[in-house]
This record gives sequence, structure tokens and C-alpha cells, in this order.
Amino acid sequence: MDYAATTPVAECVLQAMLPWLRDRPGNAASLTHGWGRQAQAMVEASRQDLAQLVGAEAREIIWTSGATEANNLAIKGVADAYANRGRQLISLRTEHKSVLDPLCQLEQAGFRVSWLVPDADGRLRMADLTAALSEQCTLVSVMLVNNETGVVQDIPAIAAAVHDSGALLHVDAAQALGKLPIDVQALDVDLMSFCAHKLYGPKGIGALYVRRRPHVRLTAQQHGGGHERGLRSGTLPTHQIAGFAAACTLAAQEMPAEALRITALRQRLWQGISSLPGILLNGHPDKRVAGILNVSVEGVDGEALFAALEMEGLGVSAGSACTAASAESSYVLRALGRSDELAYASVRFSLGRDSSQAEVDAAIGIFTAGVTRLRQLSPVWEAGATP
Amino acid sequence: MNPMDPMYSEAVWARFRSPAHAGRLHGPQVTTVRMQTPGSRAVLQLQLSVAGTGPTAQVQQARFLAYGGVASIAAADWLAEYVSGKAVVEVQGLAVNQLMEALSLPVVKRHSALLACNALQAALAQTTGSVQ
Repeated sequence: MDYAATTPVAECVLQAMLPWLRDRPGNAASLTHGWGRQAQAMVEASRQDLAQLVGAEAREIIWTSGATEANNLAIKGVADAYANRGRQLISLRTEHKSVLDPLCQLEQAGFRVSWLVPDADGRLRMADLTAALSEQCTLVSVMLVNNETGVVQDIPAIAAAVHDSGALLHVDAAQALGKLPIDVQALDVDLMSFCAHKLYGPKGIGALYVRRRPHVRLTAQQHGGGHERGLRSGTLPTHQIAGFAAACTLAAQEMPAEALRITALRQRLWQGISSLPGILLNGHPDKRVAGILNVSVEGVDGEALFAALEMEGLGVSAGSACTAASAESSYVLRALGRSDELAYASVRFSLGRDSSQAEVDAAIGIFTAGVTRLRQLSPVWEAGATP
Repeated sequence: MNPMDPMYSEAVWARFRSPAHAGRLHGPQVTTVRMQTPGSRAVLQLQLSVAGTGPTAQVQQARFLAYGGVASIAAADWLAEYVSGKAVVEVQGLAVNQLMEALSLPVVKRHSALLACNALQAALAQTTGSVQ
């Protein structure tokens, strides 16, 4: 139950990729022969497929190696291109590391980054945003769906405030693409990051939407060859692009029904595990993507909890980024006000197209048994130290 | 399904899965200590049932409760088994490294072994003079 980390490549996606690995070897930039033109035609058709899924024009899509690169290109590219206008950037503490780290790097380079803290439900406070916006601000970066909690931000309202101040809005939509409808025009965003492997496509391919009207200027971060209109040099991975396009087509077909089905499964999962005391929902109860459920568990240690679940065959993700040597709890959950202990003892369940009611029921049983066993072992829970 | 985290030995996983010495003791001969280490979140409650005094004092039973990670639970279970039935003079010299070697604990989990040994020392100190 870890579909938010990545998803298995769908069979139709694999079949779309294989010809470009076997007998269609052309470089999409080699237009002097048929193999190259064949590759270029597929790349452009694929660009159209992604653009159509998000309400963009094909020429507004730039291929990248993934959402991390797309986030880096958007943030560093805008910061540099508009540096003469201002050097303030704004983002949320709960963004993905691939947004936080480029911003921290820009901070070290002399840019001023205003870090906003969300409310206890994980949503951006509009008053905080409007207070932080200044004439010096060139970019605000806010993700559409949080990767840990599944919380969905009110992007149209954020876009209105950002554009009122004259800044641009970048949205990391890695967890949103194929999970909920996206229309870049309706959302009124200037830049949006995507990746394929969260929607049953291959790893290693992503894209950045860059608005053309009004035109968004961007400084390239990778040079050599001038591919992708000079914004992202590098030979295009045709098989991965073909796979990304097939994943977009699959998402367009399945998304409406899958969103309903997976929402019902998530609600069943929540009802099942929340019959235990001391299970706290992380993130807004309603403003959330279908497939992600994040809970904090009182009275148990995070490492022991994950071990107990894995032992019984339940693969879930930590709300925390922990390692054996340094157990760092989730910065996202701490930003929502969870204690270090609770942030550490947090579980992200994420459901996908192969999830079933039987699988959810089994997960409820494993979770309930594991938590109950660890609490019976715990002097803290016995004493009610974390009631 | 991937194998369990190879950081831990089979012995650790077995004790984590089925800690035979988890639980509580009751009675006038039972000493209870609860300890925490500043370097981790783990909390260990150790109970010893000790009979006799001086050189003849003997740990009859030991039980534990633990809030902590895999290593903390496994270390506590090993400790409770190790001391049960042994003379106090024999167990009071238990070294942290002895526990770590018995379970092949990684160095980054030394605090788990230390917590167990500290709890034992505290329980034995509390027992001294109070056992008839």
C-alpha cells in the first residue's frame, strides 16, 4: 500500500515503450532520416497527450527526467530569469524536498525565501500568503497534492493572490497527475511539474508546464544541444516518453471511476483502523486526494510499528524519513503540529489501481493486531502518557 | 516480499516477534524500575522477583514492558531471560557488550543495550537491602 511512492508500470504502458527499445532506435533530434523523424513524431504526439490531460498546449510542455528536475528548473529558472525584478521567493514548509532544497540553495545565494507554515490540516493560510507577498516576490511554489498527507491546496485562490502581487505561481503536481482532474488554465498556474511513475508510467521521465500566454521566462539549468526549445538540453528518452504518454491516456480513461473507487477504499480503511483509540488523521478530512491516508499512532514507537506491519506483509510508508542511524521524524507532520514522537509513529497508506477491498480489509487486520500488540508491550501506553 | 531489515539478526527478529518475557510481575518480592535514555525515545520497565539476600540472593523471574524500537524490545527480552534463575552476584556484572554480542546488535543500536543494562543495575540497586 505504497502507491504514492511509486506505481508499477501498467501493461499497456510497457507495450507502448517496448518498440522504442527494440526496433525504433531513432534520436528525436536527428531529422535527416526516417528513424529520427519517426521518433520526433512520437515525442510530439506524446507531448500532446500530456498537454491534453492537463489542459495545456503541447508547446507548453518541456520533458525532464522527473518531477525533481522539473521543480529545480522551475524554481531556479524563474529566480534567475526575474532576478532583476526581485529576489523574494515564497513556499510552504510542507513542500517536497525537491522544492525545499533548490529554495535553500537560492537562499544561500542571496535570495530571500519566505517560508509559510500551514494550518493544522495542512492547508496554506491565505492571510499568511498575502502578508508575505511583496513587490520583490517573483515566484511562489505550492504543491497541489501533498505527498505525505494527500492534502489538496486551493490553487485557484492562491493563484489569484500571487498574480495580484505580480509574482508567478509554480505548482508541483507530481502526486496529482492522473489522480484528480487538472486544468492549468482553470487553476491559473504559470508552471507545473509532473512525473510519470506515480501514474503507472516509467521512472525517469517527467515534464514541466511553462505558460506561454502570458509568457513565462525561464533560465535553462542544463545546457548542451539546445533541446526542448533551449530550456532542457539532452537527448530525449523516447521509450520513457512513449510510456509517459500511454500512462496519460490510461489515466484519462480510468481516472473518473478510479477516483470514486479508491476514495471508497480509503474511507473503508480509515473506518477500520480508527476503531482503535489513539489513531489520529493527518491532514484535512475532505480536501484530500483519493488514495492517500496518513495517520499518527499514539503509544507505539515508529520503527517497531513499521517492523510489525512489514512482518505481516503490509508494506506502507513512514510519514517520516528515517534511517537506521538518525531517526528524523517527518518535517511535514511536525509542520502540522504533530509532536516528534507522533510524527515518527505515522503511517502513510496509499492506494492504487490494484488495491482491492480484500486487501484493505487485510491491512486493517494487520494494522489493528500490530498496534494492539505493541501497545500491550508499552509501559507508556499503559500509563496513558500519550492518551 | 522483501526480507526484513538486514540490520538486525534473526535472534533480534525472533525476540521482537514473540517476546517470551514481556509482561508484569506481582507480589511483595517484585522490584519495578522504569528507565529512559536521553538519546532515544525508548522507555523500559523492568521487574525482578528476587529471593534471598547477600551472596545467596537469586533472581527468580524477570518481566519487561517496552516502548521503543525493535532493538529495545529484543534487548529487554534477552535481558529478562538471561537474569531469570541466576544469582544476583552473577548478573550484576552484565556488560553492555555482552548483550550486544548475544543479539549481534549494530553499533547504532548500542543505546538499546545500554538501556536494558542500566535498568538491570537500577533494579538490583533497589533490591539491595529490601529483600528478605
